[in-house]
Amino acid sequence: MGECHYLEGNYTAQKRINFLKPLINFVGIEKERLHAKWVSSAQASELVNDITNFIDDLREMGPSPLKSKINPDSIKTDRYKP
Amino acid sequence: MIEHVKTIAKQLLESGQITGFLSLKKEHGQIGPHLFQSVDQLDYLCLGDTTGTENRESSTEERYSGTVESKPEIETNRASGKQENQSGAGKSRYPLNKILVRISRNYPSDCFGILVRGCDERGLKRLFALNQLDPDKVVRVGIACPQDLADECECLEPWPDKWVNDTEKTDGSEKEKIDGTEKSDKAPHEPVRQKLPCESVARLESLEARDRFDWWMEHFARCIKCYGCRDICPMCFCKECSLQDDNLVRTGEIPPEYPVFHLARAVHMAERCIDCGLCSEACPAAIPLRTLYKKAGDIMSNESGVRPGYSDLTPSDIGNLPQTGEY
Amino acid sequence: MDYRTVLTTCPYCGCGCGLYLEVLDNKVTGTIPCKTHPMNQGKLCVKGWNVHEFVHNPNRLTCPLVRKNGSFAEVSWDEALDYTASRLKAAKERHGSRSVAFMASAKVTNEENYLLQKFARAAIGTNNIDHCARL
Repeated sequence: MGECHYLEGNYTAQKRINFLKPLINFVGIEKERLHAKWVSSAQASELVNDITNFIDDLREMGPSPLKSKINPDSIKTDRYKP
Repeated sequence: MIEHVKTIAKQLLESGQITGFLSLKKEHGQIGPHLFQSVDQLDYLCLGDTTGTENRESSTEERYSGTVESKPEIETNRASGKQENQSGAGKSRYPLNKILVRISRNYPSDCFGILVRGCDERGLKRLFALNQLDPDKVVRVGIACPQDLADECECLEPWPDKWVNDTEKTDGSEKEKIDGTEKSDKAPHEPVRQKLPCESVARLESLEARDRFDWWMEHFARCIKCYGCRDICPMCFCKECSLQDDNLVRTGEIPPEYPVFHLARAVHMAERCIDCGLCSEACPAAIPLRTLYKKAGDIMSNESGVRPGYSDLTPSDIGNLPQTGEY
Repeated sequence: MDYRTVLTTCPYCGCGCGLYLEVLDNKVTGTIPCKTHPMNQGKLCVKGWNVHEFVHNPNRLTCPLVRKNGSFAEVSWDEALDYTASRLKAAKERHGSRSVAFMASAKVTNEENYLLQKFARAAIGTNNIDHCARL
């Protein structure tokens, strides 16, 4: 942390991730689907490991709920009258 | 309450302290925003005192007669049933802050008075912090929301720092209020604070993730991309909106790519949303945007210890969240 | 310094949503939906939200145009009305009144639409009337 090419870039990114995780969880997308890790350009093997592990985690979780979004035509509009 | 607001506005206008008093006006049976620039217009001033068409029948004389004003507001609301809110703050709220920003961009050296509720004042504080308004050019006249509206909004603070109180009738206290020396620390009515997380948020959180997803998607899919949530939002002041960027949001597509469209707005509003709920009120598709932004506010308060508008939060505060370990 | 809001009705379709136009120094600058209006109750569609944009648009027609020699020419109202009346009359005489059709508009008032259909039925004698807000 703090060694970002854009100075405070990774701090900002971390805050966004911290904010986004509970937010996507709130709309029903597992927060484990969002993953951030800080890896320097000299740590290639760590990056590879991390990505492999992340892909394994995603496989375990199965397809994203976003793949089976509701078809807009099937919505009953009368259910949510203001 | 309304007579006090009129008196204060009159004093401010007559003293020349303000160029105009931005408030609500009742004319042709409709309530809308209005900038009062002369004292004789103040007869039309109102505090948003009807709920849709329900209160139409009650006569103007009744509304302005002042007969109900001597009682504390909450009792009036409960006792009079259908005639509620005749002299107090009603449910018709408008983005007065947004109008003020628009006017003061054209007249930066003029000072304006503005009618504020709890949510309006939170908005003002954020707009001051974000350099959209000059605190020295804004005179606030506060009113507290009625309890039923506060319950409906699940508002954490339905009153501003200072507000015009029914029970205080002496001129002295009103003068003090104008000077800003008096700060009320008691709530105008009980009970006031809502539990956190709000019921609407808690109810969703009790669902299974999959059900929650379906619930949100069913709502988001109804979006007609009218941009009403953005256009009415008192905190949306960007000159270029990324939701209108052709490269980010495809044109000619309804509904817009969900949930990305709605989440993008939630993220953009994270440090701004002051939970006024005007977006939900303006949404023709009845998407419960307020619930989404309430959750965003909860996250902000968890992560950074501040909820936008509830304390003076500077733009850089969002960049100073506590560092967490590996995640 | 002059700021006012003007209550009006959305001109785009037949729904008739109530809205306030914000006027700053005689220039229309914004739209705010009317919260107490029984029709829209504080909501608007994307068209209604942007009605203020066309008011001062330089592309708006400010006088009648008549096609002359393949291109539009600006003419006076008298000339335009005479031209239209004579052509309508000619068409009616040559092909009968059913050869004429009228397109009404949602952007004008009820009374003007009434007058148009009255003109079509009584003066020209045709039932060929349609309207863009015939939803």
